Amino acid sequence: MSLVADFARKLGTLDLELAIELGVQETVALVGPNGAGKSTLLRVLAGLLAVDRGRIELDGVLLDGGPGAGFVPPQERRVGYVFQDSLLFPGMTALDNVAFGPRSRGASRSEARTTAGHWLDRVGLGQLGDLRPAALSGGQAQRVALARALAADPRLLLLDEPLAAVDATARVALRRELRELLDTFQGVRVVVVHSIDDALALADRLLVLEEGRIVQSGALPELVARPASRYVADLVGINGFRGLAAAGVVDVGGAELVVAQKTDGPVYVTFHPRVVSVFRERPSGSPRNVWSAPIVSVERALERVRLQVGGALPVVAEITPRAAAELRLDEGGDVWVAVKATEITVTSA
Amino acid sequence: MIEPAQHLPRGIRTLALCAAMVLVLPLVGLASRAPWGTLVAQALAPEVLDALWLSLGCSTVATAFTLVLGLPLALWLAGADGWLRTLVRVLVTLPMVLPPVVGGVALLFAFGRNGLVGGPVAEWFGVALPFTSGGVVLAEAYIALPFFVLAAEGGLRGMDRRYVEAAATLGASPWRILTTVTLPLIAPSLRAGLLLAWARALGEFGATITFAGNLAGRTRTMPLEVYAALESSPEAASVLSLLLVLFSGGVLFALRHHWFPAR
Repeated sequence: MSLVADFARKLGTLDLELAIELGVQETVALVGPNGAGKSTLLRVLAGLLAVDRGRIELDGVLLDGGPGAGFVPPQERRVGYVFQDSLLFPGMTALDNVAFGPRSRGASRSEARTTAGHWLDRVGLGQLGDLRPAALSGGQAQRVALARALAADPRLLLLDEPLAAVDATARVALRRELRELLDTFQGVRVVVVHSIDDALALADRLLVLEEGRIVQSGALPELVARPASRYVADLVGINGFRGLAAAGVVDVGGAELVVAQKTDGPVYVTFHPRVVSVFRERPSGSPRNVWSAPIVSVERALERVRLQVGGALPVVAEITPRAAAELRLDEGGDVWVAVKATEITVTSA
Repeated sequence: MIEPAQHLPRGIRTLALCAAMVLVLPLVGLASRAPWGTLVAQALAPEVLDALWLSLGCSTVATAFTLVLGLPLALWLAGADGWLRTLVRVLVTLPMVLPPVVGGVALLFAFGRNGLVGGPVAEWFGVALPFTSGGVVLAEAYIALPFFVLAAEGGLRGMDRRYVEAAATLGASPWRILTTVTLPLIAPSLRAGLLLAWARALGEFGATITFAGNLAGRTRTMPLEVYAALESSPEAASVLSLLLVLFSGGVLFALRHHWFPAR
């Protein structure tokens, strides 16, 4: 079983064009900036939008072959779609919401209710079947929405930011449950996420969408090792720049970095935030790349302080809270930044 | 938080009071002329009750018509925009802004005994709408339809379309989506549209008298009865008018939460 999508679709200013193949052995996390086309891709797969050209196949069955060619409406696609704000039908109880799919596919009222009860139990909400959606918390509503999608017995499960409307405390538990449900689901599953934590927790593979194109696809270590764009580098938390290398110097558009690797031509340079050193006075000694830059932001996360500087080469540095205090980073102003040439990874672009 | 009324200039309040007076004084005038001593007896007179039952019956049937025909029209209008929809929307709204007597004349030319449709129908089936209660229903439905259609369309446009999409991915047929998802979601708008259409049909005068005539017991509804009574007995006219104020005011009261939601 697999999903093949190779199509183009224009919608407003978005021009979505991609070719992907998804298997049932994996959960795929779809990431990308706002407006990249993530939701549009899900809507095309679900049959809520038709393709302009190309094709979509599930298990070898054509779902959409372009205008006039075998468009299968969403009702007949066997897709489960979970929206970020759950969209439970407000006039029905939680149980009737979950029973809606089986009823729509011809099950009797009692059969549908039995199925719905089973799925509500699966998401741990068997006791709340009689409640209306308005009486449920964000996390509970999203569990019911998930049960509703699964009760319709889908072949393809599409989750559009299922954790977005859930508060931080409920998030971790829901994420773990979601992972278990996704792992037992026998079909293709795609989940749109916004954070790398969610992607790591839920998915085996990441698919990065930018401006309607797939810019990168792979497991997280691959993305960290070789991010294909500034967005991916930011997402996975490392510094990365596109540039032109010549004789051990990389021109990254307005600034130069001295590197140890002898690669020439268009390259991608990356270095981890923890190899970026920060000083108040110009440092003496061996670092080859030293420059002065204004502080943009200082973020504290557990035992690390992430410092972002601006200027021609905007980078993120990770230092200890003690060093941050000694550097009086909270006062702002300019700092000196240093990166050793040997710490910079250069890959051909 | 400052109450909105507290920072209004003094002059505005005076003008607002004037506006309120313009609306309230006619009602006071109506009440001042009412024969309070014999009010109940006059309200229960046979010709008044005939007109009242005819009014209630015709406006209710006309409202049922607007529901059956207006809902499909609203569903279609609420879809994507195009020049055809714009044209139809203008045509649907037209009876709201036309003088009702013009609507009555137009109905005569279409459904009258010699009308475009009414002529052949009268010839083949021997049935004619003018001067019948059916004619009253048609005239009222014609005037009331836009009120229902616009309310229903407003509800449909304000609805989150993704509920429909969610239902579609769950395998629901278009009919099932309409009856179990869409209609319950827009029920408040439908209710408001129906009450508004009913109240408008109840008060209909111009199109009714032009198209259906003024026959006691058959086409003489309450507003026509008021008009007829004004010639002979202004007191009786005020009794009938007060009855209509009561009914229409009741409708507004029933809808108060829809139009004036609590802050």
